[in-house]
Amino acid sequence: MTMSDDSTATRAPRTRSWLLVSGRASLALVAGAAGAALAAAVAFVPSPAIVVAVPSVAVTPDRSDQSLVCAGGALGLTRGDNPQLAVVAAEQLHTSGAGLVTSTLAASDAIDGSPIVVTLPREAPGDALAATGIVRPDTTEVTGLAAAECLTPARSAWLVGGSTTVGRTTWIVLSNDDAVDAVVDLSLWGDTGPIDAVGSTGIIVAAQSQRILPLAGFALDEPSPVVRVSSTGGSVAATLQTTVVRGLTPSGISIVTPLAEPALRHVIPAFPVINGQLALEQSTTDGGSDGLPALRLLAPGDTSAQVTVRLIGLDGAAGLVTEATVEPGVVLDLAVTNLADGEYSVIVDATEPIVVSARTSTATAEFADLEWFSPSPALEAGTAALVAVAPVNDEQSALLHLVAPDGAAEVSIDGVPVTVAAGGMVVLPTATNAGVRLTTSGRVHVSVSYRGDGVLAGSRVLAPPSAAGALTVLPQ
Amino acid sequence: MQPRVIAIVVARRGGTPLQQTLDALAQQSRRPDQLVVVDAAGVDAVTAQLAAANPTQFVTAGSGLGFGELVHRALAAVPLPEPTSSPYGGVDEWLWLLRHDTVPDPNALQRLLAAVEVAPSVAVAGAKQLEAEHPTVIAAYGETLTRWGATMAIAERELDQAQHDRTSDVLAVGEAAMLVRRTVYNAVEGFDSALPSVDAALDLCVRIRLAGHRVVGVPQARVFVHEGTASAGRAGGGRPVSPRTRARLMRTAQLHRRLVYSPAVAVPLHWLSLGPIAIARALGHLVRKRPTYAGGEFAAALAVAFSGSAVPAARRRLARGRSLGWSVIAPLRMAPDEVRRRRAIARDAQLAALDDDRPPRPDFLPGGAAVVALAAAVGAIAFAPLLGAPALLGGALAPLAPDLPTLLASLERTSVGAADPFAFVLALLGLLTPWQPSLAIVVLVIAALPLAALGGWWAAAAILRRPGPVAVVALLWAFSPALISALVEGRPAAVVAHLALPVLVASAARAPRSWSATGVAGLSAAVVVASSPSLLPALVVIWVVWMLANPRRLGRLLTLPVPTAALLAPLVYDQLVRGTPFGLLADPGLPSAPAAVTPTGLLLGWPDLSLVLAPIAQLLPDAPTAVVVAVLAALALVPVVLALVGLALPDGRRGIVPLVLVAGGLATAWAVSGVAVSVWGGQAVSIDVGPSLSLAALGVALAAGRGLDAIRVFAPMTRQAASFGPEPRGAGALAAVLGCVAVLAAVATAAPALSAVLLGSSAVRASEARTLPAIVAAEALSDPTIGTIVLTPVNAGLAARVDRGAGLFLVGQRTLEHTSAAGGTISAPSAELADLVGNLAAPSGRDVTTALDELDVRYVLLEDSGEGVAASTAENVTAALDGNPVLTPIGDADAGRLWRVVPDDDSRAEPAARSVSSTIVLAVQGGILALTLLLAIPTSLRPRRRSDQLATDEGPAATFEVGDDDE
Repeated sequence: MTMSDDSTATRAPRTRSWLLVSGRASLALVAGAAGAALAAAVAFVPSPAIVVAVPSVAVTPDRSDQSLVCAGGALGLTRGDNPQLAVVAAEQLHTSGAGLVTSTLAASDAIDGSPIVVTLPREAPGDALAATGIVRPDTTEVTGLAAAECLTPARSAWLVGGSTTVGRTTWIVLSNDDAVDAVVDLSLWGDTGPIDAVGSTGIIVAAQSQRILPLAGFALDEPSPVVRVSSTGGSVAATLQTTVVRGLTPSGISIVTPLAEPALRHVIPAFPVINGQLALEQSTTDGGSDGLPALRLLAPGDTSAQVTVRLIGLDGAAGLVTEATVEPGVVLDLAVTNLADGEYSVIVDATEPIVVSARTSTATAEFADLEWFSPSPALEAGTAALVAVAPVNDEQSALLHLVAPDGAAEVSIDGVPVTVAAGGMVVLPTATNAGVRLTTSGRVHVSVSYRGDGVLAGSRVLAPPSAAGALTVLPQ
Repeated sequence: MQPRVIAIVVARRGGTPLQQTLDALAQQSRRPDQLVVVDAAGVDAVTAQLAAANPTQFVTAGSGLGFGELVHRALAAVPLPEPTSSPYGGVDEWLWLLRHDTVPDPNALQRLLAAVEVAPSVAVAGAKQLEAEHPTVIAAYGETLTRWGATMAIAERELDQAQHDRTSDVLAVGEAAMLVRRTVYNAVEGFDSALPSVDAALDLCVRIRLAGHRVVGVPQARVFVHEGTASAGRAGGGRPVSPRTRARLMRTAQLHRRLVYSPAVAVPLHWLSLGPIAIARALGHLVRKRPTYAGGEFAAALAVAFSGSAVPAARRRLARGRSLGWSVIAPLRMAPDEVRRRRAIARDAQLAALDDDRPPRPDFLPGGAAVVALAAAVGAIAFAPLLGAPALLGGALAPLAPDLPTLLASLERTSVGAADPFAFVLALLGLLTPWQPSLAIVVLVIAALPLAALGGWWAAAAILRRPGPVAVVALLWAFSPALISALVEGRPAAVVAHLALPVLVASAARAPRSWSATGVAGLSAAVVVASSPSLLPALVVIWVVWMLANPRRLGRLLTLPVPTAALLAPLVYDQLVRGTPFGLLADPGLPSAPAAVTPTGLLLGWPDLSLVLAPIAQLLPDAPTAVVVAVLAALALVPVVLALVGLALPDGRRGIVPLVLVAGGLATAWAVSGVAVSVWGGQAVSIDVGPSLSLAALGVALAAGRGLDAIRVFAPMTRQAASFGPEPRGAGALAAVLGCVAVLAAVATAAPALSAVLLGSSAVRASEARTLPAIVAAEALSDPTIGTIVLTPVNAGLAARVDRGAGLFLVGQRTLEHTSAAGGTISAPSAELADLVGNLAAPSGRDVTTALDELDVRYVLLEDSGEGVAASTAENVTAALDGNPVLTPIGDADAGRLWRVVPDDDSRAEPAARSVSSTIVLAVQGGILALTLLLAIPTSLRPRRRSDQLATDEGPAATFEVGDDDE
């Protein structure tokens, strides 16, 4: 023992310090390796995921009274030194639904204008309602046939149609059925771009009243107006009523019903061309061009839209395909020339959200009429819609137009099955002054057209408003 | 008269001391006439040892009896001598009291007898007690009383330099080798059985003095004491009595004597004062960092208060033996100024010992002050837009509280449940600016950087030796990504946790050595856990490891979590009863969903890496993200490399402790990054990883600082062996450069994110002290319970809540409420609110007036929807609210769109009554916090030694070693 001690005595300090140094170095290495391992674990091992489920309650609001506001009668001016706005022909209505209550708004800008409100009370047995009004004015200023489905008041409406050039009168009709006043802002576009109009904002539509404003007051001599109606406070039902007088001859009336929002696709199921050549000839008597079938397009955004227009005929052929560029904020009236008489429907696809509407005219030797057909909203598969077909004269008839742009749809019309081919259309005669129940197995767009000698009108079938489902509330 | 000496040896245990005692008795120059041994050990070996000494009488007694009782048993075995009529006088019997541990000098008895023979008035003579192990140190010599009755040794634990050899008349002497006249002993009826060990002799001597006799000390007679009165009075193996047990015994004896000596009329007053005085003295012990003594005060008071007949018996015995008034012993009491002088000397000696034991700390001036000033300047510039704001909004920020009463009321239990521990932190913050509590949050954010630098300096200075590395640590800590993220994203809880962490780590490191540090650690742990409950598991693990590393201080370390537990207990109870234990992990305060956590961000220390990447991408649009991340990683690696280098340098294992913090922090961040237990605004809110990354960053900073420190220590150690020259410059310069690189890397990384508030890209913004529109806040001034339904469109639907008064306040937030979804059910009020909102935010036929009135809702606010939420949701809700005749639109406010409820409603829900249990719980919590605070406040101000007196080659600071700083 002493021997070994002596022999290592000189070397001991050096050996020990070497051991110390190497021990410390390995400590650092071990710590570095452990750190690297931890870092790798943090980087590559997924961390445990425990996420609490956010409590949500799907609240179905209590059923409220559902109301449809109808467009009202045909408008004209009283005779005399101080012409007043008046209803020159009252609308005739077909309402369809159980337990409906019909009332009128308290006030209107037009004499005798008491727009009709069709209400489905919350205690009524059924939950569907539909109503369509039709007017047949025959005065020295206004003749023709116009129909419009009664509308659910909304806060936003796009009205595409009308004109304020010579002989064309367009009224903006705003009806407020709510218990609160509505403040309406109008935005207008024309064929040269957006229109700044004095007094177009802050229009107060008092509760339970109707305002009727001449579009010419905002956009004079505008051949292609588009009006956006947005309201705060109460909601309004907004329509345009446009009439044409060629020379001294009243040549048609149409009620333009609104689109809810710009969209990438619009489907106009009814686009009938009847006596198109005659209508064109008659319309040129005053140099106007509104006898020609046409589409009115507007891309309200900031980007131009590439638009593809497909006309579908009864034979199911893809028909005419037109492409166009719609500059942002500029209304484009796209005339459809050389279109043979017949039933068509229009499918408009765009790269940017647009609004669109279609106009056709008809004429006989004595009469002429025009109609703006707005796109019909889609009825999704499984929807049961109620169609109110307005009453017509004996010599007039009504047709049901169905289009299935995506896939074939099996539609039951009052129990009678009808197949609409994919990308095809079906036109059926239908009973008038009647309610038609319609259920579909696929997405279809449906309109109704009314026609007689030299008169043409159309109304749309809207998706049932109760389709708005429960609201998901996330309470704290 | 012929003196006859009866030596009485009371033996509680055997061994060498007893043998020495018996041998010394046999070798006395004046042998005792009789030897009585009392065998109180009950062990055969001791019995044999005693029997071998040939005692005159052999008495066996139970070991549980006190010294006086044992002496009494011994005397019972020795009959009194017959009274004699001899002209030479009878036999004068003396008792010589010895214990098993008192070894008398061979001349002791002779000298004691010599002292008493010349003075017939002397009834008691005591020897000078010397320590057996250090025969030149006086263990005790003479006892006296202060004016208030406390026992004071005349000499105790001093080197024997004959300085007391002229003292003879004393008030009392210790019982070791006490020679007492048997007749006098009998006349005063012997020892008081209620005083089993300490003060027994003192009490006997006092009564003998009152009986008209004298007590003298005989310095020439020496006795060597092995154990001392307190230890020798206890049965068993003779382990030394701990200071706190000794203090309890002394206090019990003193209280007993107080009741015995006081005039009869004062006894009830003294009895009633036992409790209050015990409480006061216990608090005093806390303040003087002796919390273990506090229990003894209560034990002593209870023992004396309920000692049965002991006090009356002792009072009667005193009355029977007394012949003189108390004035006879007054001159023998210790003078008050002498008492004061002795206490001052003791205190000075203690401080001097402490100062020798304390590790040197780098001076705060000038380095620390410069670092804090730098951080303050950066903070003032970075948060300049917030200066002068009354409150902050954005992220998890909200006004703190509308006023002081609300702030304090937030600590109480409400119908929702217990308050969060964070409410205590917020209340403390709010008390800083009582006139406008929300201002405290502004101050917190603006002052966070300098406060972090200060805390970092304080923590590092306790561990490191040189100001340079300490400054590096302070700056790394102030500019650490976790703090910057918390400030820029507006997370007050994470900021508080970041500021409290270094205090916790530094004080916990010192806790085994200091009660004061234990108190500070307990409080700062409560703050950290309150601000970031997700750190609790990691802290518990570190705490357990720390206890294992310091088994000797287990008891003290066990008290560390007491304040935390006191604050957490009600919340834990509520969460467990509700069955949502995971809810305890929820971040307190206003929930605010953090950005998605990426592993890269975690490793780089950023809770949200986009805070750095976004500004850099704006500045350098062409730089690929991968390159930027690589540069950031390289910058973040600098302190890590320093930490590893530190491990390889001498004494590197001390760098392991900070690295454990890194591992704990990183592991926690990883574990909680995917956990979301709170729900706010219709979204699950993940736990913030910021505080975990703070913990990791603290470890990195401390380890890096240690590495820098070691580089500078290492160089002189290796070279001074060869030449004792001055410290080489090279190592110092290298350390300085490395430190600067580390700091610059941290600052460079932090700068882009820190500029967010200045550039306006941060969510944090100055605001009035309200979150609802001004019109609501104005009405809330007169009607603070006014309710506002706040609707927020989100992807999943419509989030809804009811705000009261002027909006959200931090003190009003409770994690119990935010985590209620963890239970999987929807509470009845929530379901009712959902039903109301469903019928309000969509066209409905219901009349909601009653439901609104019941909730006292007067306003409805529709907040702007976040990004990616369909605009139609908000439009539909707006339409429904607009169309509702119960509501009237007020218009667009800064926070969204506002409606007022049209019908008036003057009735308000009755506020819930305060429950008694809530007050009790709050009082207990407050009491525990106050006691910890008393313990934490440093009461011994110590003059610091100047650092230039330090030798540069001293060993590393002994921070992680066990000793005691304040006892």
